[in-house]
Amino acid sequence: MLATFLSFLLAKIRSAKAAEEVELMLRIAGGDVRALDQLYQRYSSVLFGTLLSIVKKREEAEDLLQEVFVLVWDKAKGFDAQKGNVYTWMTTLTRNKAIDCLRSKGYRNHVSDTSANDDFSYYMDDQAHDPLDSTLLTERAQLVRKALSQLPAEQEEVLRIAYFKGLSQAEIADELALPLGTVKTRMRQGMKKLEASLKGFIQ
Amino acid sequence: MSTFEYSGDRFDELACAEALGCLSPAEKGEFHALLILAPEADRQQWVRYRHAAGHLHLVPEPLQPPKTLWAAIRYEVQARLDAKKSRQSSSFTDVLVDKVIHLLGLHRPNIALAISLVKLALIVVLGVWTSQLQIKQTDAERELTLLRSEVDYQRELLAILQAPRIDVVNMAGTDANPAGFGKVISDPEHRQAILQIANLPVVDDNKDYQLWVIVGDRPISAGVFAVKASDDVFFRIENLAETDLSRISAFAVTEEPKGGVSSPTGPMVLLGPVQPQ
Repeated sequence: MLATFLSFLLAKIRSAKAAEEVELMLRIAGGDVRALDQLYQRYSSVLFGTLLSIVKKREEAEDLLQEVFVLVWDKAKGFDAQKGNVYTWMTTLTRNKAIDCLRSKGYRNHVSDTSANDDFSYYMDDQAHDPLDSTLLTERAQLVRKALSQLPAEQEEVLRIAYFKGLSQAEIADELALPLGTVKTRMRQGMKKLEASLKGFIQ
Repeated sequence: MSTFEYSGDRFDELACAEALGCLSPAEKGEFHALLILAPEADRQQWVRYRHAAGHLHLVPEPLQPPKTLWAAIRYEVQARLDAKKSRQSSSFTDVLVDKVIHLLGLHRPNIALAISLVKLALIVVLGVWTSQLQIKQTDAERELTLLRSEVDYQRELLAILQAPRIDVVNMAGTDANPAGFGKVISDPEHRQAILQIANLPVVDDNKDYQLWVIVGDRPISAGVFAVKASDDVFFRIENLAETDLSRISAFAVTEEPKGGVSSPTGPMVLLGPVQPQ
């Protein structure tokens, strides 16, 4: 009963935070720079860490983070809370910006650009992908790292390369000197295990 | 099996890659086609894959960006705000101008031409006026300089008259100019003198009057002066060669070539013998 109550309480808190972020986006759309600042204070560290892990260069990561938040400013008017939440959009936008940056430096056989992912309509996700406060972020990060580390090394490697380098399956096969089929299998098996691991911890 | 006949395995394989964002363009097309056909359970599995992949951004450690970065973002965002406000105000102005022109039944290009011509005319008028003002200013400055010089000159004459000791020698006209008369007012201490004259004719541009101090029989030049107008009365004479009246027999004024001469050559117009003391 206590667990049920706590779950209910957490759900209420998450819902309140989601509403708060929608409110921030509305204010940003109205030209309120302070609202953008609040969003920046909330998520800039996480996003900057993600950017740096992908592009590897601090200066580029800084430029990209600036681009992300300016894009949030520009796109705020088009934000539709029905299609996704702010945090999900920002994390995906951030990763896509980083991958596009890598691709612009001349990766062979690069997959199609991720600019379409800036469009809110692509997201059908995430009533469960709730906004995070810093404590929750830390806890969740630990869970994700643990889940990833529990994968077999070869599956973890494929998932890391796919996510943090933005390579296609064919490019991953080239990089690891593996058959394409092997890469596909490892990716599928790794994703299944990751999803199963996280399902138990993250609602 | 046709290209887009649904396969659960194939959909699952593509769904995993899609969640990680590593589908090729051809694979994306295939996935979207299969997505339409996919049963709800498979779609939900895809959503769960995306959910899991969406958390991978948490794997790297968070890192605080430099403090200056927010300032750069704020600057860029503010510039966008300012540009937007500028566009709104200029567009409002354009709308207003268009409405006025429409109400007056005018045609925009003609208005622009008329405004340009008016501006040009204004520039020309202002330019002419400015140059005239400058000329007047120059004339005024010149007159002011002359007046100042005249005032200074009068002060110097006054200073001579205020000397502790002055000698006065009256001069009378001669046959060459019977109506003329004058005075030499000398300050022996400072070797200066004032020559006051009356009824001397205006000289030509190539002529001057010259004052002589007659010492014994010898004339010594005391300077030249020119009468250019009827109101030229006082002239300052500096560096008198001789200021001791006991040694001076007379003062004389002659008409000489411009700049004066070493010895009198022209007609004498004034003569003032010094009375013995």
